[in-house]
Amino acid sequence: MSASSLFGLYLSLISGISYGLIISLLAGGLSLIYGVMNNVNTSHGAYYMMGGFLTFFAVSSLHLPIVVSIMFAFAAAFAIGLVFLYVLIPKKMWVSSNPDAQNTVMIFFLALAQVLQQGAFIVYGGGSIAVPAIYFGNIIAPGGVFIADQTVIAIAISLLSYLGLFLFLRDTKIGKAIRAFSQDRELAEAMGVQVSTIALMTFGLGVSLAALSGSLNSSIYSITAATGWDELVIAFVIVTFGGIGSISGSFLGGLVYGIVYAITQYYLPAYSFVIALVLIYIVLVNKPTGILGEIIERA
Amino acid sequence: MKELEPANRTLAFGRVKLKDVNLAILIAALFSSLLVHLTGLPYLQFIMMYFFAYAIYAASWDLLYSYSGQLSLGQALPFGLGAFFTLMCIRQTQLPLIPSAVLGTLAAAAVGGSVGATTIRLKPGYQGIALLLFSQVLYQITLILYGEEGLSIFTATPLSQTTVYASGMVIFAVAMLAIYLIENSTYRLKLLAIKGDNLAANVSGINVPVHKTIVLFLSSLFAGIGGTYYAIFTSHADFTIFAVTNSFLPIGMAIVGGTSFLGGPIIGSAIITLLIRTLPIWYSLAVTLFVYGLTVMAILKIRPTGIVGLLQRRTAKGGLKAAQG
Repeated sequence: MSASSLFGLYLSLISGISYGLIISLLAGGLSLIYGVMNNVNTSHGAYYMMGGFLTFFAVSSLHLPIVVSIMFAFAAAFAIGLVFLYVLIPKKMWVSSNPDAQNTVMIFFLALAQVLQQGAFIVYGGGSIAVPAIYFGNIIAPGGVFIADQTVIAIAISLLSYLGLFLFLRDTKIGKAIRAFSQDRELAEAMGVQVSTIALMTFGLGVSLAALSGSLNSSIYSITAATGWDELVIAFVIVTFGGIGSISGSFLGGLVYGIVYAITQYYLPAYSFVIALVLIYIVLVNKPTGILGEIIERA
Repeated sequence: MKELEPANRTLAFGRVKLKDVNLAILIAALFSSLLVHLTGLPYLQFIMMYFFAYAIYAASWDLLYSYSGQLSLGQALPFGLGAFFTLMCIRQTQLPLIPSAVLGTLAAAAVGGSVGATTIRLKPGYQGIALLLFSQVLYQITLILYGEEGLSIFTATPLSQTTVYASGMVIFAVAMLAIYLIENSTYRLKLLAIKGDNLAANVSGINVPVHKTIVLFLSSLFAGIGGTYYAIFTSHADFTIFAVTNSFLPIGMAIVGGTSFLGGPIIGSAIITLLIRTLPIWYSLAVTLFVYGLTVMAILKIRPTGIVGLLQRRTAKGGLKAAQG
């Protein structure tokens, strides 16, 4: 392999790691919602798109600084998620082990994703939007590679978000209740944990993570109203690889996806997404618990 | 989802048997298509052709979901394959239309069924995701191979609209009648037993994996028929046929009309086809799809049994009042 090939691969890997970490936040939210609520959120990709547009709205219409805009998108997505769950989904389906109820919720969220996507088309049209970087500039990584400051900041925010999520689940009262609920629902209820509070908090948090992921990505790449479907599939890929219901699995799954995607993008750019999908399809049908998780049981 | 129990199915419309209602809806659809043909209005006929394809597509999804409890979030896979294989046969092997359509449909059934068979051990939700992943793979591959233009057929002697319309009516009638016969056969009971409890069905001597696979092949076959007809009357297929929004189409149609009844997908697809083919005359496609999504959400929220469920409730109330009176 020539020096220029190695250099290109090195660049691709850095880009893949940053993309993988950012997109793993989306997967982490999906995994959290499934792990606690037993529902697959098929509208998760739409919240990713919504995060980008909320940040764009805050920057362009409310004239907020970019950091505040990202925080605004995170908080607004949390509130929107709560409203959607509370208003649209029957309460008895929020947390359910009944396959019929789970399928209904999946179909409901699929319809909601369509509404959100088309709503964004109606308001913003089909063009792409991008939000300004938090900080402009480059750093020089080992090997003389230039990396945009924004990429480094996005990686740092992703890592900090994971740390925050970890501390939230470990140290706060509601976090402990969420963990207790996901481990043993009946026992947690007997100890006074409210199902509705847990479901609302979990859903809101999961949606916020998706929005944060979209928000960070819109500052590096760009986002259109059509964004979200591919990212939903990527989130499924990461979650399935890392194990559905496992947050740490999503983190590692995101990194692995980013690296695999970067390598295939470098050697077979046209087929990189296809290769990733085929690999994960093989994992899903042969080891549905994922590489790291043990949550899913076979029917 | 609130569904009628199998035991209620024969009495769901008061004194009228459900299977008769389904047959009546099918006959009414055929009669309406005949009337549309007589009007001689080309655009209305074109909408009706979409209806023929979409109704078969929606019924194929409902057969899989309501009767065997298997969820496909990637039903665009066999539908799109039917369309693409047919056009490929015509363009690349120069086969005549009818053999191409037959080969396209069979290929869709074979690939759709084989891919589906690898997912039968998964829970419905994960089965849905696996099938969605595979349809996304085809979305990407067809985009790479055929670009955004996709595949189109242009012949020196194109079929007349009357011929395409009449063949659509025949395909629609035959496919729906076949689904009707499956849904009213004793085989249905095996599928419902599998849907109810896999383990209990297995203990009762039903070979669950085999029957799940059979219904996947059947569902793919019907979706392939719908896709093949779609390719014939539009003379075109591109990567968007595998898009998630296209996989959502039969789900939404079956939900609006009502799942577990053949009449449901027919009514649902009639309403949604009319909506998505006429609303863009006045509003944008985005507004149309927005309204479509809202309609599905409203039906799921207010009347999960769909329009047929609403009719059933009214008929049952009427029957009760008549009995009391």
